[in-house]
Amino acid sequence: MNAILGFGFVALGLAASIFGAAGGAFALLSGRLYLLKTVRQWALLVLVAAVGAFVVMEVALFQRDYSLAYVSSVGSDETPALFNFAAIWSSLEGSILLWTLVLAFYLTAVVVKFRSRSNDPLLGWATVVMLVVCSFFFALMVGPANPFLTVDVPPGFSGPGPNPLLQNHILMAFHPPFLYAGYVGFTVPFAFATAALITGRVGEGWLLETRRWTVAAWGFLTLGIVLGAWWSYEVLGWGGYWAWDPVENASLLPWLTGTAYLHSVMVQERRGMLRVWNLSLLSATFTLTILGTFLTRSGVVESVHAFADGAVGPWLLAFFGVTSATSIGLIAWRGDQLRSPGAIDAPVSREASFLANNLLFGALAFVVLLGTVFPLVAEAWDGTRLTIGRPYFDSLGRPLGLALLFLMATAPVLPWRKASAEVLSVRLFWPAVLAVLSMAVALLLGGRGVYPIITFGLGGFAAGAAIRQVVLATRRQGWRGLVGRTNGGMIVHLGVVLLAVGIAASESYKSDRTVALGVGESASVEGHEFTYLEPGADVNDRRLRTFALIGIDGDDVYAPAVTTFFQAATRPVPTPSVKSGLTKDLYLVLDQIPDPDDDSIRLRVIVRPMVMWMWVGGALMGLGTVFALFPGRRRRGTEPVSAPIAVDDAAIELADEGDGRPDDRSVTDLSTESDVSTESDIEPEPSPVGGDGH
Amino acid sequence: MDTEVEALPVRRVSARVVALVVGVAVLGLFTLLAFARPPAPDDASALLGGRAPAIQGETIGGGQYDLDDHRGSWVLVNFFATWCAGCVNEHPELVELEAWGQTEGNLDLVAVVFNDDPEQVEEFFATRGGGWPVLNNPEVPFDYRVAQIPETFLVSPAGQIVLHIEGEVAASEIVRLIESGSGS
Amino acid sequence: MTSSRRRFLAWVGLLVAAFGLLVVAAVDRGGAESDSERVQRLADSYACPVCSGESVAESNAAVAATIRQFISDEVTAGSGDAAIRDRLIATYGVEVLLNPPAEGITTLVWILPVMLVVLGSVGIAAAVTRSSPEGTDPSAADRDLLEKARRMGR
Repeated sequence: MNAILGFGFVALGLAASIFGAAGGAFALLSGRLYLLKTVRQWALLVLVAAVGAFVVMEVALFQRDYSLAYVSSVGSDETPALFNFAAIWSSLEGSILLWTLVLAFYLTAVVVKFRSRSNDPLLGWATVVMLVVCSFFFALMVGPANPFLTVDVPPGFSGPGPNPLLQNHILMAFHPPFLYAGYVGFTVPFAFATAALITGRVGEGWLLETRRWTVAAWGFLTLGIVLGAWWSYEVLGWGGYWAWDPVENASLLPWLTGTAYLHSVMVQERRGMLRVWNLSLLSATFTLTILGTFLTRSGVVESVHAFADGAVGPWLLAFFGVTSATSIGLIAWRGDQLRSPGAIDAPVSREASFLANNLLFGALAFVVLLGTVFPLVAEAWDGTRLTIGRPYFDSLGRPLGLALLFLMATAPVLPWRKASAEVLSVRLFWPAVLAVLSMAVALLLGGRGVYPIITFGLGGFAAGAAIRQVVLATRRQGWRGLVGRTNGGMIVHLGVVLLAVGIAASESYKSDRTVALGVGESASVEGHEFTYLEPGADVNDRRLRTFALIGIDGDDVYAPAVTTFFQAATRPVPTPSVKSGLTKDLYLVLDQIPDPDDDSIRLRVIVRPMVMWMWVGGALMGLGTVFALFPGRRRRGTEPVSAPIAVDDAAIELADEGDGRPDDRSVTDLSTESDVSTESDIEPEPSPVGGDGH
Repeated sequence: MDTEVEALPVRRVSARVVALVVGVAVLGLFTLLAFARPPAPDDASALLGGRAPAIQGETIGGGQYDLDDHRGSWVLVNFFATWCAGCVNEHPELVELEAWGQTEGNLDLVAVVFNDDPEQVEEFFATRGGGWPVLNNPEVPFDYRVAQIPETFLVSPAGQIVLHIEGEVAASEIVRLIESGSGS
Repeated sequence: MTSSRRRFLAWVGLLVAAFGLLVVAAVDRGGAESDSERVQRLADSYACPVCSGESVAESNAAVAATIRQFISDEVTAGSGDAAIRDRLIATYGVEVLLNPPAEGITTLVWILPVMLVVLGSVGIAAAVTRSSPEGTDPSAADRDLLEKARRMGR
């Protein structure tokens, strides 16, 4: 019953997406724009189908309907409700189902949000593109990743439940949905970018329309990645949070290009330049999400995350080929016509710093992609089997990351068009003081080594610049100084600084020791006393959890454990126990169950400083994203074409300002004006062709 | 046509050139991924069919051991530790195999300690039985690429690795294999 | 003393302080590398053969423990880094290295990113320095070129 109903919904979704896409394309190509209204109905039908299929699968999971092959492979009688709900995305078919559901929500949101303009060809094409993507994912579920296949099971059968690693931490319920909301969210700007290329309307109009969507998708992706790192740290028991695993890399790639886009799009909004480049970044971001999905689900690269099912591989690869060929073809066809006449005025200016930002993010993305796929190249070339791991990504990523931190400090204080040394030396002074102080404090606390100390210094520098912006903005605008894209962006920057500092400290100053302990014995590691109080075990129908109670410094008791799952054919899983603190984490791992004879254990103690800073930084990035989504102050764009260089900065800012409100500010305030109100929140003009037309 | 030429900005790299370069790179990536095969599992199983790496040196009891001296017999190489629950579980099976090997079968056992204390090992054998030689030489698990104990290899009379067991050993399985191998 | 001069001196002071702190951070490392530090460094640079991505130092897998033990024994015995590396490659293959060697085709994995950054910087520098407010208007020479191209196109 569930199988028929579920598959019915999937088939309905496929039909609705195909009819919607075909109908929309026909209306657009034949010029019968009034037909575009019907596309909206198809889109709603797609949502109904996706929600229906998802609900049917959840119902089947909760009914323990093992006649569904999927439920029999990821469900079990014993799985608790929360993990049973999350079991839907613990394997291949269900994860495609979740993907499609999220996509259907985005599609509907776009159609509803822009319903008043359903006759606009640009919107029409964007909807068609999204429907094409929908039909691909529904086709996956009709074809190689059908979640509603049936199977005969004996009475009394109970499945194995989700992969044990996926059902012992609450974070697993949040990491995938956030990640998917991010991945899939980039479909929206990609659809608008493709539509802009098809219609040839590459003005700023569609950019403004999709800006918030992109920021939201970016925020989801950021949180998804950070939650994944946190989960890895809390669950996998190796003491780390990022292994440069191909699947982790696959999530980082669209994040890097998406971040590059969020910065360079400001150049387009303010100066009308980089239009084609921005379109390319959006296309790259979307195709990289598809590439990442392919890498995760085809098994061509070794990974702990890989869903080992090769059947969808060729489909995803083909889709990757089609989307990249389409994007590249469109850009080749339209690119030269769509370029803007503007130019960068000076090497030290906001625009130029965004170019450098894009180069660095592009290079990082390239390093990550190369490091991920190069083992395949080497194997194809002469059969060499290579591993490319942390030392490689570290040695290339560190200089790029430090350069980005430096830009993060300097770029926000740079005025558009041109900066003078005088202005910079004023605006960067306090951030520089903070930088030197950070380095001094780190040294006093015992930090050594060039890389970490430079990171702390540049972190202080960037934090200083961000704090300066927020302080100036809130002083002038009150609480509104925290919202809007620029101010929210500064909060995100602060989060990035915390993340960078946390990474540098926890990677550079970790210590890792294994001590043998009998019951009642103590060991001292890094100034902390670890006492093995007693072993213990707790058992239920699902698993045997063997743990050791460890007292840290007398009072706190922690219980690192080894969990053996009865039904899944996996080895016992070490479950770490972490004492987290603001300055350092004490991470306890039991890699074997206690000795059966005398209960002695081997306890691995990993001490990592400032891990908490990373999670706080991630949360701050999420919070900043939310702030950035609120409308900030309205402001008009800058003339897209280069203007003659003004005599001094104040004059430039006055020229930029142009909305008749500059009177009550001192000159220094004025010079920062453009920084705190870059917000361009104008409703799009009816005909946004060729710039913002002011 | 004319208007299009006019619209071309001067002295810039054409988007077409860039698209061509990127397109070639993406095509290369696509081809690579299309023909890439999932990597073969690479663990100790890679040793299967090959010559067994040497095992020699002093045993925990104080004697000398050399795997090459056992050419002509089947040898079961067992990697274990006293702190490993699976090893404790499988021990009776090994004791059974030892008895079988000494009477009917042509099978010798040798154990290699993995990260353990020799005294505990002696106590382990004293309480749980078994009299086969035990070596405490970290080079051996290294050469056999032992990933997760208990792990066991069966070496044929010709000195070739014919079986690799990850996890606990079942005596009956080994007996069946040797009997069929000797028969043929 | 003018304010701009005071600021200039303050900047010089900050730069000198930053440089001094970096020198301290680089030089004051507490003597030569101890054996256990060396084991940790080496263990960080080899891949656990059965767990994707994790190093020998990080992994809880038994094989990682074996390799850690091997490294530790070799370090105690006074073997050089190269000898340890050769022995590990002989047993587990090149894939035991987390850091790909710069040999043969693998050199590309190091060269390509550097080339990208260099070329990109040159490109951006050219774009930024070439363009000037005047430069955005096609010059007379450009118009001539265009005219010529148009005639050739016919």
